[in-house]
Amino acid sequence: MTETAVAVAGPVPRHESAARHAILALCFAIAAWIIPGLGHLALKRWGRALIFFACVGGLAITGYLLRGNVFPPRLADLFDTLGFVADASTGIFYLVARFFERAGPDVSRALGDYGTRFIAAAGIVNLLSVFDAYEIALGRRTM
Amino acid sequence: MIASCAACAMSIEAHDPARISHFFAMSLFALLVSIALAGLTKRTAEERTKYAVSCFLKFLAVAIAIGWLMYPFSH
Repeated sequence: MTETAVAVAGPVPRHESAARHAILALCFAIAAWIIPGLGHLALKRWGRALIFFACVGGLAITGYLLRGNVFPPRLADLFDTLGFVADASTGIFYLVARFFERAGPDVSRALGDYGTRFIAAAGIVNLLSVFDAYEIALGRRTM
Repeated sequence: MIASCAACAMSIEAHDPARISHFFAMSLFALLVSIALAGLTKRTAEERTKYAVSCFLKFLAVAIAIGWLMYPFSH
């Protein structure tokens, strides 16, 4: 804000600035959720952005190729709900599940079951990256 | 590397599902999770590499140890 603008409008109250900062941090977190690594990319953390995109993508796509179970937004019971939350946490990779898993899940084989764990782990890793991006944007994390 | 693993898994799925071993699947999982944790917790490339390698080896060691502990129950 320029000196003239400050003189006319007055200084921005601290609580208003903090609220704006929190909203911005939330935007970074949402970006990190939709496309893994995007939140870090926007925060100019190139290394982390690349690591999270590669790891979340690698886990999710391997899980789909192993024909793991992708939980739909059915929310029938707690297990379904948790599975959906974990899977949906992969962001854009949840939307491309059908492309990679054309034949549908096959958990009759151990590898299909492993695939389910790969997809859930991808979601958990992305959730960690979302929280990390949020914390960095708020300035609570300096690394 | 991830792309080649994915392509490998894709061809395996299409032709012979039994060709990918449980150990390979577990190693791939351990590798990707170790790299993600290293990226999350460490700052420099050197620290990340050290942590990822250490975490990956610990994943493998614990998995093999648990596998052997469960061995008597399979007979």
